[in-house]
Amino acid sequence: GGLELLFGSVKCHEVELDSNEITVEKLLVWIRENLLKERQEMFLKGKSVRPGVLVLINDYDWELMGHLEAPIKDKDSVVFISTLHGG
Amino acid sequence: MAACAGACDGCSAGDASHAIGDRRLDIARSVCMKCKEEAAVALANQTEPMCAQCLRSSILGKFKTVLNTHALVSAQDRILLGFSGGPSSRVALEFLAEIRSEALASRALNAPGFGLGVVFIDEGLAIGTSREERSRAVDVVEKIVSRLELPLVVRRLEEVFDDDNQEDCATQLKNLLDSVKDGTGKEDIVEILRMELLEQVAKKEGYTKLVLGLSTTRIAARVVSATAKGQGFALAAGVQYVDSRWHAPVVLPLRDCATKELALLCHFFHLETLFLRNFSTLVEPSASTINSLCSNFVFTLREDNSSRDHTIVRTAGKLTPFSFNHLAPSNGDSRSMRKRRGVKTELSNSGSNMEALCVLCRAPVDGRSQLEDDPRYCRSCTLQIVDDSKVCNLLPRHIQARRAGQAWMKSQIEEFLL
Repeated sequence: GGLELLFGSVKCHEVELDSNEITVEKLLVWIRENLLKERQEMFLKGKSVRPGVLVLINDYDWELMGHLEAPIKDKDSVVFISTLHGG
Repeated sequence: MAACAGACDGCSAGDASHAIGDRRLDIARSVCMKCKEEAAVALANQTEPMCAQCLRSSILGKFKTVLNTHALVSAQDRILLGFSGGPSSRVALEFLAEIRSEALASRALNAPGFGLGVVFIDEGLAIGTSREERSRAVDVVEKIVSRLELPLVVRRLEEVFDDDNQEDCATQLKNLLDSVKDGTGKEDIVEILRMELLEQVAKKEGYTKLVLGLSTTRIAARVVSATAKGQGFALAAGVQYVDSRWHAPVVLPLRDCATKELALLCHFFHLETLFLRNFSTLVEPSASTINSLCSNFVFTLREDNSSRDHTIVRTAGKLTPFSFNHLAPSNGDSRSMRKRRGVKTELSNSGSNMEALCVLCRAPVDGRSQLEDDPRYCRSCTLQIVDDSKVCNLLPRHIQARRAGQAWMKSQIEEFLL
């Protein structure tokens, strides 16, 4: 939904983190520090994502998985979809 | 159970991984509440965990219910879908194509399916998108629509100026937008021109209904922004399922679906969508126009409780609709046939609208508050768009040529009538 504009127009990023098991909250911190250099308020709000951004872990809505506490492990895929331009 | 793929940093072997594993088991146990078989992948209807297939059925069910209850689509109709590339209109496209295929295949109705076409408005000039990006966008749209084997009309927003010379159209659009200083006004005028052009296309190509993919979330944002803009009198007009102010009545079959569900549907079923910038793209959430502020506000409200956009629309829906918020019964449909099909029939004033409408945004105009203003425009357009007479003169000629509604004129002279 246009979020790729904040990440150099690259839709898919393979990332390697120190730990093999983290939460979404930690992932967001990592993204803020490593991938998203500017315009952070377009993607993040406080500890979470900006309202209107959906988060899917292996195609499961993060709301079903504990939100910020949702676990992410090795080889998982996390998808962020912005619904702000609903059309 | 979850297995750590390698050395687990900062994880005491047994406890943490077991806890995380438990959470994953919980997810696996979270079963779709509809089919009770598949694992739930998303929360739909605010609180119902559903699998992707049931999510699709749920949304399709709502879509069909709206079409049937309000008799929005009959076999005689030629439907034009306004496709923006976004998830809502992509879902509308998918469902309309599917319903049409089913109708064509069905022998029980003994009727050909309704006609269906798609229109895409390229607003790139207004937003300042590059030629390459605009061309790429059109290519994507053509690909999507051609796969569904439907006719597609592509128009540039500047064509609303109806000039043979394309360069002149482009210049006129640029001049008009440059003359509107207010950011909200710019966004609103683009939307107004878009609707004008959609109406022109529908009229020219012989379509009888115009479907737009407006979701609950978007309509809720409009309710809030209309309130902030002082459009109280007209508020009820844009929140119903039907809007007959246009040559081809506008129909909103996704009015009961939240944007989130539609976006998830596109993701799960690989429905290709197109992202297009607008004026508010890449502008900080705290800044900018009334429209984007209200949109952000509605999304923020949904964070704690995802039924809030539904509540806003339901509340606004309680305002008394206007006469044009119903469809006049078509000649082909008898009362008894409609009753049999469970169709709501409103006793409407068939024929002319009683309300005077703003010549620009078509908002019903409250005659009592218009005494000093130009009778052609509503208060909101007067304040935000046409406050400068220079802007009036830059509007498309056919809009300038429209006269104030008959009803308004009559209301002005009523006390003098014998």
